[in-house]
This record gives sequence, C-alpha cells and structure tokens, in this order.
Amino acid sequence: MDILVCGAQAPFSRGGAEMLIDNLVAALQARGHRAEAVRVPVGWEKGRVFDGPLAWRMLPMDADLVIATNFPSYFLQHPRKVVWLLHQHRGAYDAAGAAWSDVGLDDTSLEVQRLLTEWDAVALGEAQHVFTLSQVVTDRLDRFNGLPSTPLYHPAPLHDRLHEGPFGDYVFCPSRLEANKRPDLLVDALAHTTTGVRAVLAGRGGMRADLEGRLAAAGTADRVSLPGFVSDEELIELFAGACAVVYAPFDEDYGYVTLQAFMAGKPVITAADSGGVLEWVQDGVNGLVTDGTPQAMGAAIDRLAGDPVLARRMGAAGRELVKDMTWDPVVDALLGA
Amino acid sequence: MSPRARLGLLVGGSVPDVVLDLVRELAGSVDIVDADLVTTPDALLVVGRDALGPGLADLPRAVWCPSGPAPLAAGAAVLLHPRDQVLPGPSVALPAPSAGPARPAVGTAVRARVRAARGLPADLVLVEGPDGWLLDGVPVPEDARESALALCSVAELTDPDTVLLALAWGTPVVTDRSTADALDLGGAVAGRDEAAALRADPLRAARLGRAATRWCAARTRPAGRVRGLLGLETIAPARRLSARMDDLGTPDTAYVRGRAQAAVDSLRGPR
Repeated sequence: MDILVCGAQAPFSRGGAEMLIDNLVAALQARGHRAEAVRVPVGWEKGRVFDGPLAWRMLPMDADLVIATNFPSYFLQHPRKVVWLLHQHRGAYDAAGAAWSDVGLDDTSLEVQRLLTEWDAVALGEAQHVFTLSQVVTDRLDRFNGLPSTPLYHPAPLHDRLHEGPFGDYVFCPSRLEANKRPDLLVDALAHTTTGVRAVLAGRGGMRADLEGRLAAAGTADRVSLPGFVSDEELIELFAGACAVVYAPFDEDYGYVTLQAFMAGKPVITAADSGGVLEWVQDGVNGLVTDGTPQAMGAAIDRLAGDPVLARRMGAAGRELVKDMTWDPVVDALLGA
Repeated sequence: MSPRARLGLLVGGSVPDVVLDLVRELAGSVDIVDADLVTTPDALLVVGRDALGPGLADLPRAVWCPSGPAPLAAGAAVLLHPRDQVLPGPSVALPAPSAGPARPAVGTAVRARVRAARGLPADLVLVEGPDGWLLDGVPVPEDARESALALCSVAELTDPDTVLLALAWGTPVVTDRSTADALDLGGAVAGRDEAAALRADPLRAARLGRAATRWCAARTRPAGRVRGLLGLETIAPARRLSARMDDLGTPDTAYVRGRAQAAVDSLRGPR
C-alpha cells in the first residue's frame, strides 16, 4: 500500500513530532508498504494561523492511505484519512492565555478560537478514525471539541538501544530548555537536597542563561552540568548511569523521556500536573509524583539518590511496563481503521 | 473541460427513496454507473450489499446504514443514515431536513472564554419559561436573545424555532421529547431528565454542542458533503479555495478569506 504520513514542519528544529513521523514511516516500510513523510511549514500566530490548514486542504494526496499527525496536517482531504493526533494548536486551546500564546480574551482572539474549533471539528470529523498520542490528548479533544478518539501508545525513540547501567551519583534530565518543560524545577530543587547528588540537564533552549543565573545564585553551579545537545550515544549512556530521571514538564502530551527512562531501568521523578507523564509514572511503584514544589522535588531526589535499592526496584518496575512495546500494534491500528 | 467523476452504484435489494433522492441530486454533478458492470468508477455508493467485487475494495465508498453500521461500514469514507440516528465518523443523514437558520457555531470551551472575557459567571444556564427567557435567573431582553444562545453553557428550551436557532449556534440544548421527535433531532439534544447531569458535566455538554453542530451541518447540501467526502468534487480551480472554506463553515467576513483572496490575486497579471 502507498501511505503518506503527514505533519507540520518547524524549519531548523527537530523534536518529538519529527522523530515520531520518521519512526512511523520506518515501521510502515518494515511491513512492506511504500511510505513517505510529507511536511509543510506552519505559522502559529493569530494573523496567519489559518493559512496552514488551508494549504493542507488544497494539497493533492495521491496515495492509498494518508495518516495525519499534528496541526494542521489533519486538514488534508482524502477518502481514506486516518488521524493519529499528536496535538492541535494548543495556543488556541488549553494554552490560550499562556505567556507563549498570542490568544487572549480580546474579540479577535475569541473569533480565532471559535473558528479554529469549528474547522478542527470538521477536519477531524472527516477522518475514518481519530487516534491520539495519549489519554491527555484524547481528553483535550473531548473537552474542547466534543469529539471522540482513541489513545494509541508507541515506543519512544532509541527504545531498542537503551539499556540498564549502574546507579550513579547524578539525576538526569534530558529536555529542551524552554518554559513549558520547566527545567528550572530541577535547578531549584537541587538547592533543597541534602545528599550532595549531582544533576545533568541536557538540551538546548532559550532558558539556559536564566538557569545558569539560578545556579549561581543558589551556589549549586558546581553540582549541575549543562552539556547542551548530546548525541544519541551520549544520551543512552547518561540514562544508563543515572540514579534517577527527573522529568516534570507542564501538562506534557506524552513525554518520551519517561519511556526512555523506564527502558534504561530508572525511576522517574515528576509533578502532579505533568500530564501524559502521569499515564506511566505510578507514585511509589516506578517513580515519585510530587506536588512540583522545589522542596518536594528535592526530597524526592534525595530519597532515590540515597536509596539505590529502592531506585533499582522502581526502575525495574518501570522497565517491566514498557519493555514489550513495539510499533506493530500501532501499525495494525492505523491500517485497520 | 475535465471529464465528470463516476460514482458506481452497488445495490442489493430495493433502494430506499431517500437514497434515490440523493442519487438524483448527485447525478447533476457526477456520472452514475452500475458498479457490477463498470469496473472503473471513482467511488462507490453501496446499498444492501455485504461484499465488494474484485477491484472495488480500495475505492472510497458511501454505505447506506439503515439500522446501525452496515457490513461494509468499516473503512467507508462516509456513512449514510436515517435522520433519527447519529453515527460516529463521517456521516450524512438522509433525507436532509428543510433548511433552518444559519449561525456561526460556538463550541462550549469558546463559550466559557467569551463569558470570562465579558466578566460573566463561569456557568450560565438559559431557561425558556412562560414569562420569558432567564439567564442564570436574570430576564433576557428581546434583543439579547441570540447573544444569550451564543454564550450560555446549556439552554433549556421548548419552542421548536428557538431549539433550531440554538442548535445553529452550537448550543447544548435540553428539550422535551415531543419537540425532539417533531424535529427529528435524535441525539442532537438531551432530554429534560438529563438537565441536571448536563449542567454538572462539561464533557457531556461539549459532546452535545458538537452533536448540535453536526446535526445542522447534515441539514445542508447532503449531496455536496457526500461528493466531497468521496473525493468527487468537480469544481473549477478558481473556486477551490473558497469552496474549501465553505466546507469548513467559514463566515463570509472571516479574515482568512481575505488572505486567501490576496494570495490568489497576487498571481494575476495586470488587467
């Protein structure tokens, strides 16, 4: 079968969505299908947010099946359209009013929200089936658009290469250094630890200078490493050598870091408002769910850093949860819709 | 001039009048052929058959589902169903009811944002009573009624015309069974006994508001919707942009229409 996997493009940027599309294409090809990715740039600002949907609406899609992933790719038209929804334009939905969204309570914003809600409902309603990345995304689609959908879980990148290792003297947090990922929670939490544990915070982003300032002010700069971008090989070894993984973004859609930590046999410390992370982390079983305050996060870090036996037991429980995940059920669901 | 698209009929047994009416309407824009004789249609319309012939399985198909999903409903591009049913996925009700009022639908989450922007309570229930309309217990002036329909959380209504107007606004509506039956509303409204539960359940209200909008969409141009979902559109290239926006329910005054027009105009030579 000829299959097009469609998604938005953010030029000069590569994140979870890009990896998911590449991995889905590879999984479809491994099953003997001809599959390719189609990506079109998108603008998120109010003044041009409808341009992307309209562009997708006009594109010829000559294939037996099209799989749309994120906004606005699901606006494409095809008699056999299946949606695997990673996210809508969150700035016009749950994140309206957030610092990074230009959608407020002015009349223009309200009309943008209204029209986008209706456009989304029509475009998603055309699909033969709407799957989502996680229960978090399903709940949002229900709450904001009144549309049903089915969560469809998939393995994280590097799933088959991540491995267990010694429980070292650091907690690991691979994350873009952006506000919605809240890397500052780890930096602030470290000042409340008493075990002398170190932290490795890997990733790039606009918050780096702010984080360095916080570390200097707290006197913890010598305990935190900010290596920036790390290669896949380095990432795998950083996971393997950590005593725990700290990952507490705000209302994450899915969160590869959680699944990767579990594959590496590490427990995950998170926050109660971290969204999709909580679909995997069970407090006291395979990680610790905190209230997100620096004090609570610091206490959780100390608890796992000071008790390797507990950390190992929780990490093993996490690994048990994800070790058998494969792309096959994902492909079966998308092709069988 | 492009050749017309071909819609293949695949029929077992009698064809209901409502489907025949749809076929007659479609015949104005596509060629209707017998899919048992012509093996190369562009899409199928299936009535009363539970299997497809060789070479037809990959064609987009519309399937008549008189009593729930029919055997070939799985994988269909569009399900055709009687008005008193609501089916998940792309579906069109037959026959199309008479045209009602057209209004811009306002989803329940957007309604909440509008209330916040106007400094109104988080929840506002509109009740149509013998002495007039009450919004959270406050009388609604005659000239503010449509605004009330557009921003309330839930509306408890009886008058059929008001119910239709509320549905056009995408309002979650509670009404009595006789009104619902008289208008063939099916699952687009909730019964009186569900009013309290609906007020306390934003998710159910969101789904009901969406059902209202879908019910209204199915009222207009069923043949156009079927044609679009089957990929049989034969509109002229110059009309495609605006036709796409029409399908999405875009108001004539929407900013995006101006942007699209400007993009097209920029390609035109001097006149």
